[in-house]
Amino acid sequence: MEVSDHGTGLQTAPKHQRHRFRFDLEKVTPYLAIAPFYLLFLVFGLFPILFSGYLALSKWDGIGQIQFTGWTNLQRLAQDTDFWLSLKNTVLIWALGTFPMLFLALVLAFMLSLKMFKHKETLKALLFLPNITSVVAITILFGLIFSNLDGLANGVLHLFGLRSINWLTSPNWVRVVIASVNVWQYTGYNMIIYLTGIARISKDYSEAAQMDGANNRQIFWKITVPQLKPIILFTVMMSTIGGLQVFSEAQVLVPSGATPQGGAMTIVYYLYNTAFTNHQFGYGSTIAWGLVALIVLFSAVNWYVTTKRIQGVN
Amino acid sequence: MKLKKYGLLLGLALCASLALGACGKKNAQASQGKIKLSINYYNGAISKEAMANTKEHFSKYQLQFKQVPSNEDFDTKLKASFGSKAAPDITAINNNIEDYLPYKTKFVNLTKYGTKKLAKDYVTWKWDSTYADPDYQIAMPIDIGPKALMFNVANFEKAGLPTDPKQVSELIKTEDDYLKAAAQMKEKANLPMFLSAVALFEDREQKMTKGIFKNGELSLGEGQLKEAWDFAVKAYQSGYTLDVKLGGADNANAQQKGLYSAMNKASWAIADLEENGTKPGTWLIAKAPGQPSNTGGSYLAVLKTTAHPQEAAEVVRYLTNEKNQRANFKELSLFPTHKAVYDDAFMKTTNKLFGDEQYNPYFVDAANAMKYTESDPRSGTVQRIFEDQMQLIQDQNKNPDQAWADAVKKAKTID
Repeated sequence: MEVSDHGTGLQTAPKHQRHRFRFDLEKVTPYLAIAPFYLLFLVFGLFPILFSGYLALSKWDGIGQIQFTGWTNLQRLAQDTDFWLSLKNTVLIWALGTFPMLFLALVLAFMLSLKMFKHKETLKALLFLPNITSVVAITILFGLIFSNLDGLANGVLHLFGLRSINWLTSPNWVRVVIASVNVWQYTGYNMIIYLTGIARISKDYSEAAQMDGANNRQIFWKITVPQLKPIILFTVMMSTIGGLQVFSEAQVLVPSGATPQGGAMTIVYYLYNTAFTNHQFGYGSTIAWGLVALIVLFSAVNWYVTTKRIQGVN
Repeated sequence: MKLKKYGLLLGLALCASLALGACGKKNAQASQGKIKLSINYYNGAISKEAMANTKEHFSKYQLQFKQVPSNEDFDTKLKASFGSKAAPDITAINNNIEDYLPYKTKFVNLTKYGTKKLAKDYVTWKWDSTYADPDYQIAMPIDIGPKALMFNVANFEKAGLPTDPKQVSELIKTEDDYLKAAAQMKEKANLPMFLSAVALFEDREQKMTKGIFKNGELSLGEGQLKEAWDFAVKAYQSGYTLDVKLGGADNANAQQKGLYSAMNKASWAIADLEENGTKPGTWLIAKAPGQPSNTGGSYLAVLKTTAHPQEAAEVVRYLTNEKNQRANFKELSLFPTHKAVYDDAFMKTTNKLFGDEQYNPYFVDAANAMKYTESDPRSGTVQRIFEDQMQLIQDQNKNPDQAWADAVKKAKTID
């Protein structure tokens, strides 16, 4: 936005009109500087988006002719129970992961903002660490922890005399395991966001509350949470977009035999299988656009809620 | 933020690689002027020794071997490279060659370069699978994965079953024998015979002698797929399966501890047993029951875009010859397709994992007895639909009739 305004501004300046074709290094340099990103975006961003839009209305196995089939794929998508079950799995995994994670992040951020904790920077770094580790590596580790036969999780259950759980093959538990990978990885990230938010809350509120005899729990619920509302809604929105795209965790935990009824099939996993395992690139693209529509829908709801709610708070 | 950062990094990396790539190209061309051939392969498809042999033999060419990841992206990338300058001259193809047969024109017809007379040297069914039509061969076979029965010695002993491979081969000849032995295993040792319903079903699918499609129409192997299905369901319902997922930590664990007792496996599974930390002598190999079967095996093909089809075909012929297949077997346990390799020394191969057992004859038997089954590019997708439903039976005790009906319904939508 900024760049294009700048450009038109220069062009309309009368001084430059006489030398329309003169090469002006100063004018060109900013464009050159930003060119790599835009060129790459054109090739790896915009082109695939447009192409997948075309593929979504076609049938293509990746080599032969692309056959335009019109609305057939969309009709198939609407009737595809696997797609809707994958959506259900995705939403469940998102809900199972996001709400505990955000609450945990909020509590951690609040605790870190209290005066009684020392070594705050170290704690912040430690809690943020999972976010910069590779999701595949983490997931392999979680796969070992939750393996059906001899995993650590079942070992702990045995220790307490409980029966072992089929973590990775029971539809409900596999969703919990996938969600827990997310919780582990993104709690620290959201905590940092909340911490910056808490830093912006005026100390006057909590000091006044303390003078009136409020304890930390009351300060958390009555001051921190209401003041952080816009930021909480922002994190909910971001994790919704991220949560709808959950893939690696499911694919690494359940590399084969993942089914929509089995709980581990998410929308992106279904898309991936359709396009890259079964080589149905046309229908795969249709699923991708179905996902786009869902994200737009969720974002619209979020946007509506946030704008209304923020106005309400302020 | 994330996107921008990655975009920038990607941009920098791309610019750097373009610059470096351009330099490299210029230097190579300037200094040598030899015919240049690039060969894409995935890890484990060609041995280092075979590559060294080939480079030495064709010292007049400049051969560039490039290892690419062997995941699903391999096919996607290969397909994307068709017709582009980025395409290699020669590429490895995995055992999904049926995906490429309809697109024979993307490949050089190797029969034009004297491969027809080589037919007698190779395992027939594998050789036949490289033909798009009787006069158009798109690839040469590197290896195959004939299957034999691997059994857990301690479990067999516990169940009162024989433990000598020859006796096991005699006792378990048919699928019925296999189930009977499983019943005995359950009764006397209270141990499952098989890994899982899905593993058993997949094993039986590989034994099918008829295709999933017939003349382009869904035929489900004319009843053979249902037979395979019923077999797996019966074993599952009778409690002969451990029901652990194929591949992954649980499977390795189960093999190591002998939590199940028998599996039909390709020769390359020996490497898996080793990797999974199985102790020597815990598993032995016998002849597989029922129809001979195979799983896996790669090919080498020359892409139509090559500027040097003659030379590339020569290299493919050489890379798949007896000498190099021996090297592949020695280094990577790739089971040869060149029949001359099946000599006395090969038959007498032993592995410390199986003591002094000479197990190769069982694999060779399967390799020789196999017959070519025509395959449709959609077969894999349809089979996965059925395997997924079997997974639901295994994991959630789904009603098998319902599962079959659901699978058939979904299979019909694949076009």
